[in-house]
Order: sequence, then C-alpha cells, then structure tokens
Amino acid sequence: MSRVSQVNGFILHSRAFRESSSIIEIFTSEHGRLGLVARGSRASKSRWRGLLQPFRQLEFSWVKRGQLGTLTAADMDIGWPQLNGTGLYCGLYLNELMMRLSRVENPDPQLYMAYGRALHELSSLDDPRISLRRFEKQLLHALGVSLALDFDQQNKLAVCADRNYLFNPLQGPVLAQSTQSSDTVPGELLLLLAADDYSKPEYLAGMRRLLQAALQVQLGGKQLASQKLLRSIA
Amino acid sequence: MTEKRPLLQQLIEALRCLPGVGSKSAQRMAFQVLQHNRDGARELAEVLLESVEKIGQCCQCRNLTEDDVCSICINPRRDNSSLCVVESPADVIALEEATGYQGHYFVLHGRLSPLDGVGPDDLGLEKLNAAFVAGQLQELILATNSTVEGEATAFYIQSLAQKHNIRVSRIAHGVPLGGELEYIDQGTLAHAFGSRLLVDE
Repeated sequence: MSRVSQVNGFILHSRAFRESSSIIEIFTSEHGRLGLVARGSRASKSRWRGLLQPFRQLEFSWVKRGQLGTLTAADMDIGWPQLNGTGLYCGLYLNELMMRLSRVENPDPQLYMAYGRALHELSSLDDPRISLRRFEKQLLHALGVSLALDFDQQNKLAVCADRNYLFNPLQGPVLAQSTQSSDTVPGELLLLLAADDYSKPEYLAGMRRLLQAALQVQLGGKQLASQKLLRSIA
Repeated sequence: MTEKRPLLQQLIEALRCLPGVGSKSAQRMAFQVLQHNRDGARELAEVLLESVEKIGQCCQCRNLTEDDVCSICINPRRDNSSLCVVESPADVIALEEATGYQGHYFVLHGRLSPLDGVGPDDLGLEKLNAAFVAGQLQELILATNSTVEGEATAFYIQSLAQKHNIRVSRIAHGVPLGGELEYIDQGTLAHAFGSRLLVDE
C-alpha cells in the first residue's frame, strides 16, 4: 500500500461512481495521470461536494492498493481557471486529449507545466488557437513523437523557408515537386512551428492541420467527442 | 439444473435496485412488508408496475408523465413564450416549488459530457431546436447545473438559440442566502464577485 500526501494536480475528469461516490482522473506533476475513487463525494454533506470539478487545481492526498487509489484529502484550492464558452470547450478538448493519450502514472513535469499554462491562457485570452497548438505540440513531444519538422529525411536536406513540402506525420516533410501545388505546406511554416513561433496568423490553420494529422496517428484515427461538439457550434 | 433461489432471497435482491438500499436495509424492508404490511406491499407492487408501464416522456417537454402531453405543457394559463431548460425532472419540481415561474420547461435528462460519450442527440436537442424554429419563444432560461458539464450544455443550447434571435438568460450563481463570505469556496465567490449587479437607487 502506498500513501501519497499533498500533491499538486488538476482534475481532468470526474464521473459518478456507485450511489454517492465519484471516480476522478487527476494529472499531477509528480505522479502523472491517475484515477482515484472519491468516496461519498456526491453525498449532500460531503466536504468535497462541488469541489471535484474538471480544471480545478488542488492539493491531493491518496492511498493506493490496487489499480485505483482512494482520495483521502483534496484541499488548498490553488486555483480554478474560469473557462467560459469556447474556452470551456477547448478545455474539454485538452482534457480529452490527456485522457486518451497521456500515459498513466508517468510523471512529466514539462507536460504538467504546459497543461497548466494552456488552461490559464484559455481562461484569460480571447483567441485559443495559439494555446491549443502549443499544447498539442508539447503533448506529441511528451508522447515521444518526433515531428522532425526542419529536416527532409528523404532528400537528406534541411528544410528551406522558401520551398514547399508535403508533410506526412510518419515520415516528416518531403520536398514537393514544382508540379504539386495542393496539400503542400510552406517551409517557413515548418520552421516556425519547429521553433514554437506562432506569430504569423496566416500559418495557424496550416499548423493546426499538421498537428491534427500527427495526433490522429496517436489516436488511431478516432475522432474526439469534444472536437466534434466544438465544430458543431462553431 | 440449477436450484431456484428462494423467493425471499429474490425479493431482497430486487429491493437493492433502489437508491440508498444496501443488503441490510433490503432485508429489513422485505421482512417489514411480509410480516406487517402485506396490503401496503400489494399496493406498492401494483402502482410500481403500472408506473413502469405507463409513465413515459411528455412529447413536448420530455418531463415524466403518463399522458402524451404533461400537465404543465397542456395548461393554457402558462406562458408559452418562455422556456426553461433543466437537466432532470427533479429540477422541474424544485423550480415549481421555489419560484413563481409560469412558463414552460424542457427536460434534458442529462448533460453534455463529451468524455463520457453523451452528445446532443442523447439530450433531445433536436426537439428543443424544433421549438426554436417554431418561433413562439421569446425567452429561454438556461437552468442547467453549475458544473462544468452543465455550463458546457448551457453554452451549446445558447449558441443554438441565438441563431433564432431568442433572448437567452442563464440562472445566477453566487452567494447563497444566509451565506457568509468567509466560508464560501473561492470559485463561487469569484463568480459572484465577477457578475455583481448594479444596485438601483
């Protein structure tokens, strides 16, 4: 049996369990993502009632015997990003990505920082696009996916800003023939994305397509429910 | 051939489908009705069976009713230009008892939760959208819960309604009556502070 005290983390998801309990999925810096049973959290007099909501950042304590741990304390309200409207849907998208792709109990402080930053930005900035792209790229990096955006493996050449490339998430960029005009991405976009530079708004849509293609490989082609929902109201 | 379980055992097991009833309570209930109240049990059994067979959803608002149209929807004195969206039939009762609301309701029987696979189709939103298209509505009140999923649901319905120029309002969230600020959680207090109201002079 292991006992863990006061670990900083975010709630990714909470679902009802039995009559008055819930199972929460949390993402912590020191222990990665894990599921915990919060006993009696939905009872009318529970001290956790209303507290265990997605996006909330708390200090968690738990004990663990088998696969699922049991929450023993959730306190020190560190913060609750107020996500509204589109920002809320983007937050649900982040959480769905994390639930589907991040590895269980695999501590990743960098990804933790990235997630916290993305949530904070979604609650304070009007345009979520840059925050989402940055997070998607960091998540891919955390999954060990190397996009090799700045090197054309096939021709063994560094990517040039003023040439066009075909991008395949498994092979990386390949220099496009001059006759191929559709579905190519400018070398400049690849280099900017490699350098985490999102300052050119005209490239954001192309970056999104590229990262989506790479994420799709990881997701096994499955569409995310939150993304579908977001598109249906856009 | 497996031996048939004793009827008493079956009764105890069946009672456990009720909320808050574990094996001990189920046993007490079974003995209570068998030893002291067989008439009450017979009535319960009849009403239970009839309810399960006859109670369905109102074809307009999806509230639970044994008729095609529920008593609220059919009442001509209620205001059909106002519609209040709630998550569950229990919310309708709570609002009816607490407020003097005279409009109509729409019961979702759930909330949007993409991570649990609950989408717009599971909440009868097509029917709700049909009410928007019909054009009688002037005000839509979003009374879904103040949870992440409740907010996501409210935002989704709001974006549907706004396409039809319907005035949309969301129930207020904040300091409970009789509440003291120092004991209120940060999220609620921040929300209450952020959406403070001008005081009329």
